[in-house]
Amino acid sequence: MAWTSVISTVRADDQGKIRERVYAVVLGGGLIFIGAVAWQLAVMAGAVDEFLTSSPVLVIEGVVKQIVSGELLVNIGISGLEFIVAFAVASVFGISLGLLMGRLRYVKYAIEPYVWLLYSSPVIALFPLIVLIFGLGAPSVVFIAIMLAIVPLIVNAMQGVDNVDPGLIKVVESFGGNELQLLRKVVLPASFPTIMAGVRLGMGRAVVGVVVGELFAGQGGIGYSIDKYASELNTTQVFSSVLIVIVAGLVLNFIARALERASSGWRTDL
Amino acid sequence: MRTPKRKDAGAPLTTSRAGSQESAVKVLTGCISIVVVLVAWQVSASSGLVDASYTSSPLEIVKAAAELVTSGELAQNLPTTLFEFSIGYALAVVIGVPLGMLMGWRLRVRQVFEPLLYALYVTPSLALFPIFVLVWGIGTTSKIAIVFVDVLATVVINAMAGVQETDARTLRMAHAFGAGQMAQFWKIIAPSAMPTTVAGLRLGVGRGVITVIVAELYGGVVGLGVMISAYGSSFNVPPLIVLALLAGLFGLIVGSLLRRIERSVFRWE
Repeated sequence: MAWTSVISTVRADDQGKIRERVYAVVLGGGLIFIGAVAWQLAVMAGAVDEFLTSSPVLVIEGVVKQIVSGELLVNIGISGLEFIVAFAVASVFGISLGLLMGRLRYVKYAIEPYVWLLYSSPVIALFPLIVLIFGLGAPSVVFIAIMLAIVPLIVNAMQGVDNVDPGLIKVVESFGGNELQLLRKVVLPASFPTIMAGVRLGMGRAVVGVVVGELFAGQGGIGYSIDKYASELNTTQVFSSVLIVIVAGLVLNFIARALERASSGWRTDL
Repeated sequence: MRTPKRKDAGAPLTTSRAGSQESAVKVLTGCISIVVVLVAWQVSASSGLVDASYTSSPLEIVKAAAELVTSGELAQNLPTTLFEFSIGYALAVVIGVPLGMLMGWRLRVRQVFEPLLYALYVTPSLALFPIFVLVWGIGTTSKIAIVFVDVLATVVINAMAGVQETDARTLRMAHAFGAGQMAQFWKIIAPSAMPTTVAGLRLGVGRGVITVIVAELYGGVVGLGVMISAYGSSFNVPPLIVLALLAGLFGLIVGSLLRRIERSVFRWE
């Protein structure tokens, strides 16, 4: 292949990339925009009942109202704190347990059944019991979120250790390295990307735990306000709160992906 | 890295025996661990070491399970939950698989639906349930809708990923040999997307079961979640645990069934 043709393909690729990005924004944003306009028009034409379905303009007004009144800040503070505590506890316990299970197969075989049971059972169904033990409000919500978030953290840390090159482990062992050195020099660096993938999944499940936990057992926060407004039949504020949850979900997912990408970039340097 | 190779030289002869031995150790350890926990739970509850009104005990849970079955209460509620789950799940599969494959195959289609789908995927879908209740009430329809929404995102994303994993060279070869778009889709893209798509269906079962029960817990007339809510508000713990375990086991069993099907169908992978 001649140099000129290589250069020209690169340029065409660049142009194509820009064009594709424009297409993505126009097409994807277009569907959402058309949907919102159709919704607004249906309400204005009286085809649907505004009390029942609200409207995009009202929903945006609702969000603005929540910002101005400071309600949003308070809710994000409460939910955010619950999220951070739950996620931190789940990370510390989940990753340590996963590493332990990856290193000691008897521990793994003994604990694995419970991990899968926790994964497939609706933890939230036990909320009456959880509320009975921890009381209504943040502690119960945090507990629910921990139980949801911990599963992928355990499983990924375990798999990360499983996938470490056994040759490397043998080298450290035969040169007299102890378990702590093995962990710091080989196991952690090699399993880091897998663990970070678990962190991303765990973040997602912690969000679910906080929002849904608040729906049932909360005394404040975004999920709680969805439930509160729904019981007041305030459709507009329910939609506004759900919109806030969606935005929060997108932001957290963006952060989690950036973290994951940074960690796998770091791995290639290894 | 020559050492592992040398070690592996004699390995093939022993791997199958070592493998089955290992899985026996695994099952045995798992069983012992379950028995130990159950016994410890029972002893601590009946000796009064922990308050059994909070934690219940394995024997009480078995008793409660038998009662739920013999009283016909389970038979009264289970069909509704199963119905809501199956309809919502089936709708999500029927719409989600073609949509996901189309999104993987055609860039423009993907660009249209991706942002919406992505927003749905990162949002805890149960947050939408209060809206569905406002629109459709606390009956069956709102549960079918929430299961549909919850399962749809998982199914679509996996079907899409499956199509995108299709080997580009195989496609180019088919194109070079004059295969039309339809032939390319049915002969190459759809089959190679199958394993990932079916994995999505399996993940969807677990999510859907949890969703239908939590939705019933939030508001419903009949169903497992409604039973859980009733026993919960009267602090009757044993049946509460029975029902939560039942839901977990259902997800676990259907999930492992689908995994087995996956393995036998896609053995050539």
